[in-house]
Amino acid sequence: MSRTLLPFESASHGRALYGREPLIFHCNHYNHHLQQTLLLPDIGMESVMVDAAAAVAYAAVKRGGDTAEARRKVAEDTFAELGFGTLDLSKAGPEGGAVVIPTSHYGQMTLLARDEPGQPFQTSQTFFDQGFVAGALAAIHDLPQGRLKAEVESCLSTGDGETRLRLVPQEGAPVYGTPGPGFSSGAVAPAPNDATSVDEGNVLAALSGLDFSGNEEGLIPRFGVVLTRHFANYYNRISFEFVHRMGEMGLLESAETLLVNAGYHCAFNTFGGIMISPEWDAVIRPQCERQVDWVHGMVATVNALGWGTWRVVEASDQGVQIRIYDDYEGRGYVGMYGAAKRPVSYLAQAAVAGTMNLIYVGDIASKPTMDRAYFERVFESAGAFQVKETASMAKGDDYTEIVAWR
Amino acid sequence: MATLQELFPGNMGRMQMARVILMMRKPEIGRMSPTAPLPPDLERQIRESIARLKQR
Repeated sequence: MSRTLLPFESASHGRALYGREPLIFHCNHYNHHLQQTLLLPDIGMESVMVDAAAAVAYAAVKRGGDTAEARRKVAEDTFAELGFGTLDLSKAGPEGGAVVIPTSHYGQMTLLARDEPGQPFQTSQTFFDQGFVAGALAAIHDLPQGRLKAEVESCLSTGDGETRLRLVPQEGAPVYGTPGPGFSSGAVAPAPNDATSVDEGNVLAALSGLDFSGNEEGLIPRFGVVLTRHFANYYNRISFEFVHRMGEMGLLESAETLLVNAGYHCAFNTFGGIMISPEWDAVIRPQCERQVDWVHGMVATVNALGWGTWRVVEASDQGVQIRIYDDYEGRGYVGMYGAAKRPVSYLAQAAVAGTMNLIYVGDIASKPTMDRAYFERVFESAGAFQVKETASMAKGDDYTEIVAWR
Repeated sequence: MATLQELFPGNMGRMQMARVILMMRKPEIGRMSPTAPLPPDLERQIRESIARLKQR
């Protein structure tokens, strides 16, 4: 399988850039729950998701070569490599046309994260695919961003055999920019906490040997979930636009609660899947002498996800204090909107709470079945951890700090 | 007449209530007593919102 891709660049604090856009790993559970959180009636988040996807696709694909053919190949291969699925852009030109998507993360894999797994949605959920295709085709054909719009003719997410989009020209549509790598405080992460038997360098080296590229269907099944190696600025735009719109209606706190909750589904399923995986058993579990070493092991693993560098300040069965250098939410927020007035690292909060709950409440070491009953048992436990963001790079601190306790 | 606590039990219920608050655009629900009986009209609206969320 030979793909034509942009170069992957390594950046500070474990970050990866692709066409100057930061990439991060996230799973189908997060993608599903985040999307369902945002899809409230009458606030226009559908178009935000489409336009946010178009922005990152446009930014990446326009770096894909000097000819339309070269950029088309990069666009199709990028979609597959990063785990979004497969698509054929050859039938669409600068005036639009048809695009077929035979396999799709958003069209198919989000169905697996539903309460009734596999059940088709009543309405199309393919907003990311629409935006990616519209943005990529505009870049391929040297059009201004926003010149093409993707209309859904059929959709995998509603039970159709394939997603079929119809690209049509449009004028005057608003577009988002992208901050690329975003903002950094410039602070440098200290060495990993040495109060553990887990060797982070060893963990990162082992993970770097795993293949996280999309398979022939353009999907990345790993650790019992389906991953995407996604554009950080897509998540940032849709999450922060949601927060801003809800805040204008006096609904900020509920919106923030639900963004953290969406992240909790991610942490639960992805981190849980990692901690019961053969890879964990082979590399990390043998290094864990005490239960708290599982926290250090998970943090070492997180440092391979592109989310910035996490450092454990202290950890016990009663709580944890974690500092994050260059967390992707903070970088993206400041890059898009300037300094934040409130902490914005919703996913990081959820990931810290999820880690602690899996290890100390859910006894993940016993390899439980990762199903809804287990999720509810952990989530409803009286001993579940609470979480708070106590420092925020987006607000001007050197790092983002998350504290969890019970 | 139901209470918020009965309609939204536990942590899962707390998340569901946040969704309903956003859907109804009624932040004041979050400030109401969880154990006080709801006005019938508000209870009906909340139940309708819960049903809409389940339909998606």
